Amino acid sequence: MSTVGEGVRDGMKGPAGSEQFGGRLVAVAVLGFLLLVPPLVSIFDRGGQVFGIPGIWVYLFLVWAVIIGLVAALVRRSG
Amino acid sequence: MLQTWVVLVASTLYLGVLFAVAFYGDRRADAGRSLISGGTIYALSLAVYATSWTYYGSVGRGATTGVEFMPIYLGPTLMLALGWLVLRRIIRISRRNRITSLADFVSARYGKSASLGALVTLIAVVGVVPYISLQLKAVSNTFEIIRRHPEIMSTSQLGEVPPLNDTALYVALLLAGFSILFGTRHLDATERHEGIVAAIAFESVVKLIAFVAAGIFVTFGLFGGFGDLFSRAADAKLDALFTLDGGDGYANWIWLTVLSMLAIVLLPRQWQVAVVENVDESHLKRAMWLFPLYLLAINIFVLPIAAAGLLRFGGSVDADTYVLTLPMAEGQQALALLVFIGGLSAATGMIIVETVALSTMVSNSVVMPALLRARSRLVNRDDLAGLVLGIRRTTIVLIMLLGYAYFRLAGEGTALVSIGLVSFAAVAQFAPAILFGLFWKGGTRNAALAGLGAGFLVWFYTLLMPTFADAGWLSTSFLSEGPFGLSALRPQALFGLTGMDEVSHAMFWSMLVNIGAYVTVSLASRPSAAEQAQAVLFVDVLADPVRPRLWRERVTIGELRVLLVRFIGRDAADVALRQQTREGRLDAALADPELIHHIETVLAGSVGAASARLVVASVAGEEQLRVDEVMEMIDEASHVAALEERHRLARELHDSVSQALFSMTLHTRAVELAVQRDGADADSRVVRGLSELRNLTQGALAEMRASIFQLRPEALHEEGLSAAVRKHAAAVATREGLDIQVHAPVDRLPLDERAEEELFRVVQEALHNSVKHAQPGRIDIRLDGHPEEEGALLIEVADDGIGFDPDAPNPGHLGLDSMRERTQRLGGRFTVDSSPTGSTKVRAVLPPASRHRVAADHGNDRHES
Repeated sequence: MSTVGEGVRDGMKGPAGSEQFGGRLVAVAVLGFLLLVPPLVSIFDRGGQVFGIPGIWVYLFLVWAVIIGLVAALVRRSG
Repeated sequence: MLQTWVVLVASTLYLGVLFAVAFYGDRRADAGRSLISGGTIYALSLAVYATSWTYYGSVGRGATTGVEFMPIYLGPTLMLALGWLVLRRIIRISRRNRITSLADFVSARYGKSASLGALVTLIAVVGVVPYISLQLKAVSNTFEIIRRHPEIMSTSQLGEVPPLNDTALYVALLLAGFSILFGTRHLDATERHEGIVAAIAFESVVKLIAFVAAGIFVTFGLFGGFGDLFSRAADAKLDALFTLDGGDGYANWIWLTVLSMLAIVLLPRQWQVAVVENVDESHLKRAMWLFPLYLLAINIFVLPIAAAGLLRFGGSVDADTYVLTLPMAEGQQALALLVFIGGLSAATGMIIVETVALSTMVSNSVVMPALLRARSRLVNRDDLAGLVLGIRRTTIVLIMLLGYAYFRLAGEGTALVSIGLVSFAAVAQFAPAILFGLFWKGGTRNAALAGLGAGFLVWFYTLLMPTFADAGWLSTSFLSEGPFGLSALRPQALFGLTGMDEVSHAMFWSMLVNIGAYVTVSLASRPSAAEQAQAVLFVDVLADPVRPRLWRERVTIGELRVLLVRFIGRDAADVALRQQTREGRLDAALADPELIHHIETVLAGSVGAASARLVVASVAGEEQLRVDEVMEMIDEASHVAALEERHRLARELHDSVSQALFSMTLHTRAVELAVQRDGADADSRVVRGLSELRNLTQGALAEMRASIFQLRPEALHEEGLSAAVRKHAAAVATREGLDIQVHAPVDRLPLDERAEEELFRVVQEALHNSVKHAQPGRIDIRLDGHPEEEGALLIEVADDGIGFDPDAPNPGHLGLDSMRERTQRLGGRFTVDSSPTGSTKVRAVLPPASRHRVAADHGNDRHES
């Protein structure tokens, strides 16, 4: 029944750090949701093209990559 | 052209490698050098999400609806970002309570309800079997495509294979063997299968490489890169690929995002790899970005392949197979073989994990509770571990055959993507019970049952029954005109609601009734005690609450050992009880509540929470908790913190101040002797001062000991009544400068805890009265057998001071009433013998009968409560 040490394994700098980490991740998720669902998505849904590539396709992958990058950066900072 | 035997040999070799990887993973785990100790393997194992539905189906959906396939992968990306908030909670709760399946989790959250676990299992099986058959269908169809090349086949023709020639059947049987071999090797308290995880991670790499290779070939080999491909698609008026479809499309887009956010956690196979197989919470951190990156990588070429397929074949080839047919049409045999193997890996990974997860649910949440209820003497059987494993193995074979049967009977008419979404919608029904259950303590068992039941029925009616109609089991008028011509009940336009696709429509109605029922029933009813206790355990998991006590000691350690041996084998039982053995506790000793809880948790790991409760109840007696008792337990939890603080204080006082005072008395005494030796006058101020100082320090020491004793009242139970009274008397004697004698036998008096507590208070109060009011010189305390009454116990406090009239009005301030009450509560007699002219004798007599009755009452309390 070893429950001791779970908190330590968080690898966070104390509960405040963990809370902040969690809060920032939620913010990234909310940002991602806003960018990926209408109405914002519909701005790029007008058949435009970027260098001959459909704008919506570029936009979705770009937002996707940015979210992944943000999460990775937060994880790295949290140690 | 690819020869059939080449494909067969390559597939067999591939599955052989898979067996080897799994075998190696298990070997390494057994040797204690885990392969999966890094976050990367964990992230790759999550990629079991990408099944052949992704591998072939995304292109199919991309070819018909354009970018609309993407929310299915964007949702998991968002959910993984929330993983720290949601998944970590689930992982920690599961680890702490040894929860080994999704059904077990829901059941445990709502008071370890067996019926809830069974309902969740039912929904999971009904919802996921079509998904398994989808994988078999993908394997079977792609194999037929290769075999019959260059003939171009329609999907329905592909289905016309006699069963014994059908690769799907052999794949199903082979995978059943794999799941049984590596998924039910032994009954383990954690239900982790490192071999399977290693194999799944390996498969994830294979399918990614194969798909990306096909994508690169198509984009850069057949066309001149993305720009060229997309501009040719635009020229060919394939604009539909690059829009969200406006109006309706937006609602579907949002629903698909939400649905996939839920599915990434709630699909049984995802739960298995993300929660059950998780060996370290910190792995989650890497998975939070690495897994979405994997999904991004595997999706980049979906739309290019779809566009290329449409340009190359027009409508003549099923879009679900473009990934395979494009390389084949170009004569790229090696690539086609790689793609086929990639598709095989996507299908097999999903099937293996899904069947293992479902078999755990069926055995732990349905079969075992039912067996234990029906035949409670089952617990006495010897090889229960074998029974549980047998149930699981049978379940795996049955689920596989069920999947195959569904594929043969119904799987032909429907496109890959729509079956996948039907399953997503089924498991999304778990969301209210699990997510509300994680963050809100008010949800009740009945609410979860009502929400899940209602949501499942709506799902069944609006989403699954239409696929029956598609398969020809129901007449199509059921869809177009409603049952019995009731158009308001049309399954895909319930109450006339139109303008959504069938999945959004079903999700809207099912979530409405699911969440509605859950919230309404929760608010209308009160959770039972057991439910409240579990709610606290789940919701406050990150706050590290003290575990509420659920069992009371009524069972010996030996009985628990026998139970454990039956379920998990002798070695594992010895490990579970190692602590007890080390502390020298014998098997005949009573198990304390924490130990019983520990055993229940260990068992829960093997047979599920609901079963474990039944099993432990079979030896420890059912504990029906009342609400007030649980409230008491919760209070108790906060008390425990305060008590621990007091213990710490007592220890510190004892170690520091007491020791210092003790040294001071010794030193003072030494100085006193030295001064006397030097021939100082006994009446000199120095000598008198020293003697005064020694008295003061001794007094302070006694005072301190008394205080420490007050800080730790349970010392009473550790040391026994006589010792406690002696200590207290010594403290009072030193403080007041009195002669207090305690007459008590050396042996511990045969009293239970409650009696000891009450009698100690009586003595304390009597002593206090004497000291305060009687100005005595000497007090005698007697704790012994009654000299006249056989077997009775006499407690007497007698002083030589000034007495009082016990019959005088209002003697309450003397604490007599409370002493009398305490004695009577124990079934004893309380007498005061005193007069204003004489001394006082306070007596409490406990007849033997009353002592027995006290003990019996106590036992009954436990039994009934």
